[in-house]
Amino acid sequence: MIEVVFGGAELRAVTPLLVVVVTAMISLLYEVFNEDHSDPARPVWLSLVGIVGGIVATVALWENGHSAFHGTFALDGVSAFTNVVCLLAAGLSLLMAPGYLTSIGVRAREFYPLVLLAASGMMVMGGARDLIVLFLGIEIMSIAAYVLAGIHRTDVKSGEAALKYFLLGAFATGFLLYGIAILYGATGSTGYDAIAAALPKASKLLVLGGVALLIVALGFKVSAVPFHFWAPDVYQGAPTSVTALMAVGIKAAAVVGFARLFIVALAPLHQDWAMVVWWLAVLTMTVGNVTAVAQNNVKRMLAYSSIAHAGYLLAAIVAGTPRGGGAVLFYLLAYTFMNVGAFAVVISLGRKGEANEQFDDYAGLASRQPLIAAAMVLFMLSLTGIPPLVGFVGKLYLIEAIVQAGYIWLAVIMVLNSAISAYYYLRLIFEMYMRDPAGPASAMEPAPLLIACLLLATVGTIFFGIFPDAPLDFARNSFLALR
Amino acid sequence: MNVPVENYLVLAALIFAIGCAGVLTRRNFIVILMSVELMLNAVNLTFVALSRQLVSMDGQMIVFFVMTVAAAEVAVGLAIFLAIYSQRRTVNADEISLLRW
Amino acid sequence: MPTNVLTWMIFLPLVGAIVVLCLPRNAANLIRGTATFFTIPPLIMAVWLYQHFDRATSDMQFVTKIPWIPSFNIQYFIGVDGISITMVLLTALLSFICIIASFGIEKAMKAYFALFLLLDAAMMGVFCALDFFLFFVFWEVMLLPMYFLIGIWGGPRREYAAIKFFLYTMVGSVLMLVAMLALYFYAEPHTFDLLELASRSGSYSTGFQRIAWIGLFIGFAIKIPAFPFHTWLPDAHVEAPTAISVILAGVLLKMGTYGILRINYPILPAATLDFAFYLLIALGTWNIVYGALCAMAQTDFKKLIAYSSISHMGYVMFGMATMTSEGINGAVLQMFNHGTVTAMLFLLVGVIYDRAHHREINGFGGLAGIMPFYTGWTALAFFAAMGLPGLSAFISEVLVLLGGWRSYPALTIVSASAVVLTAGYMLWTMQRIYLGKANEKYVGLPDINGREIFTLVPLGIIVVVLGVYPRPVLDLINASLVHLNQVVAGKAQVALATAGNMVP
Repeated sequence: MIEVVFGGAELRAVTPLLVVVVTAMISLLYEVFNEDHSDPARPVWLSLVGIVGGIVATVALWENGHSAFHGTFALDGVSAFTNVVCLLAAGLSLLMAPGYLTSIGVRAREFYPLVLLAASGMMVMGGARDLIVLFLGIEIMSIAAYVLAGIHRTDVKSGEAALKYFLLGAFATGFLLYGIAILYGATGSTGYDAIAAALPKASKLLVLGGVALLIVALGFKVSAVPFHFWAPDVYQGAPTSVTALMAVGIKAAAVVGFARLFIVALAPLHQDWAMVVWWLAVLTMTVGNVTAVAQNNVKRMLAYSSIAHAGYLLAAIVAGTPRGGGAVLFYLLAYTFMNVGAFAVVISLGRKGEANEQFDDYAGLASRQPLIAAAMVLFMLSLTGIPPLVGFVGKLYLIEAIVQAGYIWLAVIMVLNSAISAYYYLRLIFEMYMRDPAGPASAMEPAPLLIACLLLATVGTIFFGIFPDAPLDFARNSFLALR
Repeated sequence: MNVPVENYLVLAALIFAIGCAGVLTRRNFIVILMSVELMLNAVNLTFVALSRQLVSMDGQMIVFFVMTVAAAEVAVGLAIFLAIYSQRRTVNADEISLLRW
Repeated sequence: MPTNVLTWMIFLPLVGAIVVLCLPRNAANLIRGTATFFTIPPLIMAVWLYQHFDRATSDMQFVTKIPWIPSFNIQYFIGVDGISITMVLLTALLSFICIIASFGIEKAMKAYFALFLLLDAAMMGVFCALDFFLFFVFWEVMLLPMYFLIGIWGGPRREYAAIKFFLYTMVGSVLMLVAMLALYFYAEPHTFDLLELASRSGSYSTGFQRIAWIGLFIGFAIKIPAFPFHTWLPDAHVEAPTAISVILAGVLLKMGTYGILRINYPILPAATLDFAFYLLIALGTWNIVYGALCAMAQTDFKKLIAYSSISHMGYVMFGMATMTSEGINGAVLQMFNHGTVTAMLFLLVGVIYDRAHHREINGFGGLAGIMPFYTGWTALAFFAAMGLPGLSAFISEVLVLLGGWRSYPALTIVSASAVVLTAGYMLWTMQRIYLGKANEKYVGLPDINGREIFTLVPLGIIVVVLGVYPRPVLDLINASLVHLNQVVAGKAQVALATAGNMVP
């Protein structure tokens, strides 16, 4: 008989989640009952309170080695780091939303609570120590994200993105559950620790089948090649602030879920899954980068680049060590700042009726919007991995973990891939600084909140590039504490 | 009559494969969604069968989770279909290709 | 000031860049003045360094060492020895001169001066860094301002030149990064500290040393630029604005050879001995001859100077490869001398380009009568570049050739005879531009003005003084180079001996 426990440890584990979810509920109800919709920025403030509250609660309550609900959920270092990264991503996408949504004519004020709900799903994924909790986290996040992708009701592209995202997400859910079922049958449990303990005695064939299904399902979520084909369409079609959330927050949560599952629960099988994930990583980064080179739409280019970055992250998971896990966490933080920043720049160029997402639309941006162009240069360089920006330290950390685990070729392939990526990131810089503008574009002032978002992203990109030590240590230690 | 657990598992696997094939080959959203539901129910069958085999309640509890989540998913999915249908008057996936697939 | 002087030299220009960015866009003179102001203290500090530098020791001086990223054992570790202090002096001087030479820039001048100061900071950093990671950071930071400075303020084909520069350097950086990480992981405990790495060099296997050496060498060879990686240089030079050409030829090219001396030589001594005697010496000779031949074929004044740089950098590689005290001293002296001489040449090309708006050698003629002062300065620079006795380059080239004579008489003769080629194209160019019948189009050209002379005077003085009395520089570098030579020879012998013992 399962005894229902709800004690101090449990309360501790769910407090950050509660803060976020309750704020979402309040925000939702407030918008339903409040008739005054004149100020488009108001719901943002309430949501931001939830985000900040979630971060504060996480920072105050996390503890290494913590576990709750019979060891199925934890607010340990890894989970705390994921919470902060995901809430940061959600907060930054909230900041860029109000002006943008107004400009494309979206009135839906449920946008803000939905972002919070998606964030709460990510937090559940980060703390999951049981396959069922992981599944629940994925679904809480995904269902909110499906709606968010289609929130631009009058735009056919947005609807199409939502549709594709939904169908493939549901399809992936089927695989995830079947994988869980098979692992459950083979090991008799769905908890990570129990699985790890039972693996040596379990039927190898069955276990490998289950793991293969899980790789497929999670491959969909992190948009790993060959399960990536939905990503560019969805990223391009969804409203840009949602795309930022998907490319950063959802990816972060999925990657952490992936890392925790494989590094903790499936550690005894490392030999078996490492080869598969090795190929997955190599394919993902190479296909992502090579395809990104051929793009003419900036948002789509960023989508492919985000696929490539998923490849880098998977490469560190291949290492299968706490070091690899720590590198993944730090890279996610780095990625949050630089990628959200890039999307914020994309948003800042959009006008009502014209998205201005083509490379040509960026021609001569430096003379029209020097500061925004300069910020974009920083983000592009950081994504390429040029020191002293945060992307470089992140990549260095990934490479260190990979080499430490003995996968030298993987590291070499990754470095070569970064060199390829320099081409298309540089191309955007080239457009902005060395081309003359195609037509007389009106210089529109970006919304103040968007400026705040850009500033935060810029500061994060530079600051953590020069002083990466505190988050680096934290990330490394929190994965070490899992063992 | 005592049916061995393998039979359930094989049946579930077959249903899962049928659902999977349906998703990949059908072009009507509604049919695709039904195929996904087929996959989920195959999983449910697996869980229940395994639960009895392992003499643990976990599997049966999980089925409830799966059903709840599936219901929520269907609700959102149908809402998205409706939105698309009101824009384009179609439920055919081949006709929804503004973005390169 | 004494302990942190290098830090100030690196970061003052950076502060300057930020200050310049905050100035109002239209205050042209204020921007110029501020930019100049921030290059003066480093110059004064450089002079101070020169006076207080202990010439008797080969140790690092003015060292600052602070942990930076402890997780990777990365330190903010800077200091100078004899090799780097000459480069730091050169950088400080040329930065100041080039800021003044950039006063004519009109387009987006705020951005120009900010980028220039950023470049200045990064160059200083490269020469002072003693931690490989820090070195790499500065090396990469340098890349971007250079790309923009060529790509935005350059000539008609600036975009092509900028991209080419960027891609070549990027490939080099990637190789360097891989080699750097390999060194980091090979050393136990892992470290990026260049001195640490060098002190453990005995434990690196020869095979590993060779691979790492090649990786680093390609990275540096692209910067030198050594044949066959040189093709970006003429394009970049032709398109870059005058001051940027000066920095490019005067400082950036030296980074290639400096990197080899600072990293390849002490850290990978066995591989250095292997490769110096074949690869490096051959490339050096080929650079000398090939550069001179290409220069002879040019009709664009600036391209000619660019190829002459390739030729002169060949002497540096040749001298380094000889592994003799004369050769290696000559190489470092040549780095300094080439920095001053080529800076003069590019400044002088800039003067004529500003007036005539083209650089076709055959499009001029008889300028000596029209611009006598200008012609005088050009003659000094040309004679220095030719290696005329009494001017600085003569001494360094002779030292290099002396160093080579013992081990490589044949190659030394080839290299020495290239001096004839150099004299040939230099004199021929002089004749075509300055002598002969005056081209009527340019009769009214104004002579060189005060600001331009001001930029040339310090360089001219150095060229003449070092030509007569090279001790000031030789004293600086000697102790460090003697030490370096011993380290390479000694370590390599140890490595070879152990390798020999292993053969049954």
